[in-house]
Amino acid sequence: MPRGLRRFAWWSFLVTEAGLVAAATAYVGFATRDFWLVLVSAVVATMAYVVAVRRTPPPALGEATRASQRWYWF
Amino acid sequence: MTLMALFWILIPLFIGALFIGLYRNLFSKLAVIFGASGRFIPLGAVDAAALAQAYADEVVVQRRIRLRGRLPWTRHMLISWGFSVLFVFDILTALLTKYLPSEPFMTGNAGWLFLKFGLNVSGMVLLVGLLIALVRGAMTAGTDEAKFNDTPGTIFLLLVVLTGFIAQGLHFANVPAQPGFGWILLGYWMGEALRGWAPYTGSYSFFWMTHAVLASGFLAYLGWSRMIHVFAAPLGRIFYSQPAIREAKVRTVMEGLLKPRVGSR
Repeated sequence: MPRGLRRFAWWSFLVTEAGLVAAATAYVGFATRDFWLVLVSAVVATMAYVVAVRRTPPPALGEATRASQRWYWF
Repeated sequence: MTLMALFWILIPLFIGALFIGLYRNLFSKLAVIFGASGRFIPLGAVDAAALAQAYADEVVVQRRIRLRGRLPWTRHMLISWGFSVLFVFDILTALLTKYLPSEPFMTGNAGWLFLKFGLNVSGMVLLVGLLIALVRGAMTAGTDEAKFNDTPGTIFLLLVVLTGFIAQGLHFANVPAQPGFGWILLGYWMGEALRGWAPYTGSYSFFWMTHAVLASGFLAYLGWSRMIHVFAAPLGRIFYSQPAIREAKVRTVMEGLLKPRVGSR
């Protein structure tokens, strides 16, 4: 997978999860029992994401790998 | 533990499932399109007008679906705009009533009524769109037109909307009506209809939690079902609205065509 796309996939996931933990903390309070449960939930989600990324087969790029130039944009 | 706290504990898991689905079913496929040597278009090469036009055509007025007929277009507009506006009002409601509470957004005040009005109007729009989709899905089953139908996704979203309205109705049946509650529309009308059997404590909690879990589950489901088109379709159109990407694609195809085939003389 192109490095830029992989980086985008990682950052979008991590920023979203961090944002959710921050929003949840604002509601349940810091270092409370519910806070730790929120944190466990985010950690489990991150572990599952790591496993999914590692186990997703690399895309069959074929001819695309030899193309002289590719541009993409988000 | 409050219901809201339980919801906050579950939501990172559901959103994680959404991202895993997006990685497996969207990003890994985009990687094929981009190719291994992909890089970002330099900002100066982005055609902003073409980008805005593609966004307006694909997302705002959904011109491509209009070509399939007035009814499919109306259904799709009601569902996509109902869902999007509902999502925005959900975020605003959480922000303005839970995180940054202020006088106008206290129960019964003008800001609070505005949020409830927005939630209910968008929810009702979504509900109508889903009912049209379900009826149309049943009527076109087995025909060529059915290829665009997503009945499981429609039923899933319908359950989210219905449990939301039921939870709201039970809530308003439990509390005394106040002036201005008429602006809450369907939620209030259901509350008035159910008031005779109030109070609903256990059933309200059950429907609220069911709604919260289903709504979060639906976000996770987006990445694993045909619903992924909400991300993939606009993204594809926006990519190919860019002359730099189109030219790169044409160049690659031409390079492939001009390359001598293995074994040819």
